[in-house]
Amino acid sequence: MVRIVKVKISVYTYLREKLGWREKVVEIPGKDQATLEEVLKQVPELYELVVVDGRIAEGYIVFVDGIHAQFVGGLNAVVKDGSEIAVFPPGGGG
Amino acid sequence: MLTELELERYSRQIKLFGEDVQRKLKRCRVLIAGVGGLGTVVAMNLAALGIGKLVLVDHDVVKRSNLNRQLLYSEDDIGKPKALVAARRLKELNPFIETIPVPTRIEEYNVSDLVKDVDIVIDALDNWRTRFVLNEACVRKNVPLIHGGVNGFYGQVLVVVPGRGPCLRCVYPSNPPEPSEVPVTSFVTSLVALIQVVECFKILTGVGKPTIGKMIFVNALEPSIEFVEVRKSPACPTCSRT
Repeated sequence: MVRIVKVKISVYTYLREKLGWREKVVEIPGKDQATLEEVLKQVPELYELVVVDGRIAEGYIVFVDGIHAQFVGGLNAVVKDGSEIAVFPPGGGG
Repeated sequence: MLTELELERYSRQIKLFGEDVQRKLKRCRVLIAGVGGLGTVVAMNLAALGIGKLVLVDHDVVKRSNLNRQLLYSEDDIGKPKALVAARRLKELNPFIETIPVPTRIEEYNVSDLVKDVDIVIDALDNWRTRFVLNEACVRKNVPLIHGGVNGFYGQVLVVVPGRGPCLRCVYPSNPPEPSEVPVTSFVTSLVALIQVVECFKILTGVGKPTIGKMIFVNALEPSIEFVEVRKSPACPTCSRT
């Protein structure tokens, strides 16, 4: 059986204009699961934006399968084959 | 009980959802936290809908730079307390409702009193610190909260129904950086505010299904309304015990 972690990353609001895409599918072969950091590193332009000093920058929200990454280990959060990652900045105005 | 005049005023929407729902709306009490870009549009629509009591909480006064999007105010209102002006103007729009102005800042010491007798709270605030004060109180008192926020051409809505889905703290475990003078225009605040109104209507009446467990993203440029799954976190410091 081929081992692979295939993950969909979706970005929202101004990140789309900034990055020039809405979603990407990332594949990490040879593994049953990966860390959030490993997945984000597959998309360098996103990684550089969202990860600062080894942690998720405070201006971005990163969800792994509907749970904020901070609640499940931060960049060490476990990402499985079929997982979905959502990244968005908070909109604080009213 | 609806008077003849009210039945006439609401006749076109009574055709849509019936007199029982209209009577239910008249019995409802909604707190609008912040009567700015989001809050004025929410308030105008809830007033038109015939919500019985609108509690309008805002400590601020009207400034000229508010007038591009805070649609209840005019040049003549500059310098006046938003809560008082909004209460008066909404009453002019619909004299059959009650408007209660609360020209104060929402803080830890007064938030419980503010939310205790309302059916639902609308977060139309412009800062995260107060949003989390409100979120905690709503979770504690078991009052639904509809969060809205905007930035530029984008915005988001989250429906918080304590015990049934995630709260605002599940989405933002740490307070995001406070926005200062966020770029914003009326069509974005209006789009986001109207989604808050629809979600409020659904929760109050039972018509339709509230969007629980999903963050609603509005992108005015694409244009699009999208949903992102948000689960209640078992580790959330605010709602994990509800």
